[in-house]
Amino acid sequence: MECSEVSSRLLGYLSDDLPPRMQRDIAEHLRGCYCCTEELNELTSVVETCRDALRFPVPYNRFEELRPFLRKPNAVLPRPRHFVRNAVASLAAAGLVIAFGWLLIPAVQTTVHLARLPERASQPEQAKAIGDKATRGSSRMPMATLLAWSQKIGDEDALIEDRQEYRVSEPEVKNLPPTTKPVSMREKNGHKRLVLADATTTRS
Amino acid sequence: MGPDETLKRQSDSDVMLRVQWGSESAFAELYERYYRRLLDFFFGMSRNVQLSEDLCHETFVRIWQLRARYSPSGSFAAYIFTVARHIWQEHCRRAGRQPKIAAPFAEEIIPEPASSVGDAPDEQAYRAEIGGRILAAIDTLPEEQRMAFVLRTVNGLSLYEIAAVMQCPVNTVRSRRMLAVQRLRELLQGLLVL
Repeated sequence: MECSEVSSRLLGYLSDDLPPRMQRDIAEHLRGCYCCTEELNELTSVVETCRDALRFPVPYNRFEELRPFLRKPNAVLPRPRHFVRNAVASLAAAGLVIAFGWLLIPAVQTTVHLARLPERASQPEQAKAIGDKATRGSSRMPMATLLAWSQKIGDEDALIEDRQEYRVSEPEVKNLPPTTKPVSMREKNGHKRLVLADATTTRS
Repeated sequence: MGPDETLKRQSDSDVMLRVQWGSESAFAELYERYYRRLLDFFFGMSRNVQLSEDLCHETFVRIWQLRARYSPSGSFAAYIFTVARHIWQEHCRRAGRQPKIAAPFAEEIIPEPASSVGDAPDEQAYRAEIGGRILAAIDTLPEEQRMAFVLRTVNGLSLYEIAAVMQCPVNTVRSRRMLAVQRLRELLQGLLVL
């Protein structure tokens, strides 16, 4: 190491604040450099002299003077009431509750509604009743409810369109009652479907 | 092993936790461990014996009052000296303290240390003069440099602990201390055998 590098680090070397490797390098340099050694001695003299001068002259234990204070009933300060911090935290918590409720309520409503939907229609008569209800022009059921209904009866292909018609897959065609009248054929997801005009067709 | 001996073996944080529970003996142990260091700190900052004792007393009162808020994280020495630093700043605000201009001799009367008792009168006078001029030189330092110097040189805190106490980066502590030593070295050039 050069003298200029060592000189700026002598105080840290004196206080043992430097990394161990640098301490060793500086010690190695000092072994062969008279100038840096003299500078270190000056620093040592200044620091030690000031340290001795700044020591409290005659310290003695005065704890007994503290004892009466320790036994006072109000000798402990309570935790501070950080009003602003608590207010912000309360508002944030209220906001979270409101946001959670806003998201949760529709889900609860849907769940409750689904729970009230009729059971899977195992009898054709029941399915017919459901279908009749769906095709009643004056009381259209909401799409979400109908979709849920179609999933309940296990026919995910049965979708209700604006014309209130059922779509069934091709194999079901043979089981259709004679009153059904195909309107069109569509293909979706690799399956052909007939769009029928009669709403009474459901999977039995 | 008695309760006092158990306390002496515990770390500062553990003793302070006992203080939290209201243990006076633990607080006495804490006082025993730190009162000299706090006196050195306040004397280094104020160069006034009576004031140093008062501020040290006030620091321990504050620690007892605030014991419910203590949480053991980091160095306990940094915690206690942070309280001391706040006490010192409150005192400065109350006193309307202004930076002192360097005087050839310190104004406060400094009692002779015990080691000088029995020396010849001229030796004692020489020591008093040297001590006064050193304190006057230290008095010329800006407060931050003086605090960094006192905490490192007199109280033996590490640079990281001092940074926690003074709420500044470690390199700032390092530079303040270096500037303080350089200034003292210039002022004491002809006084000490350098």
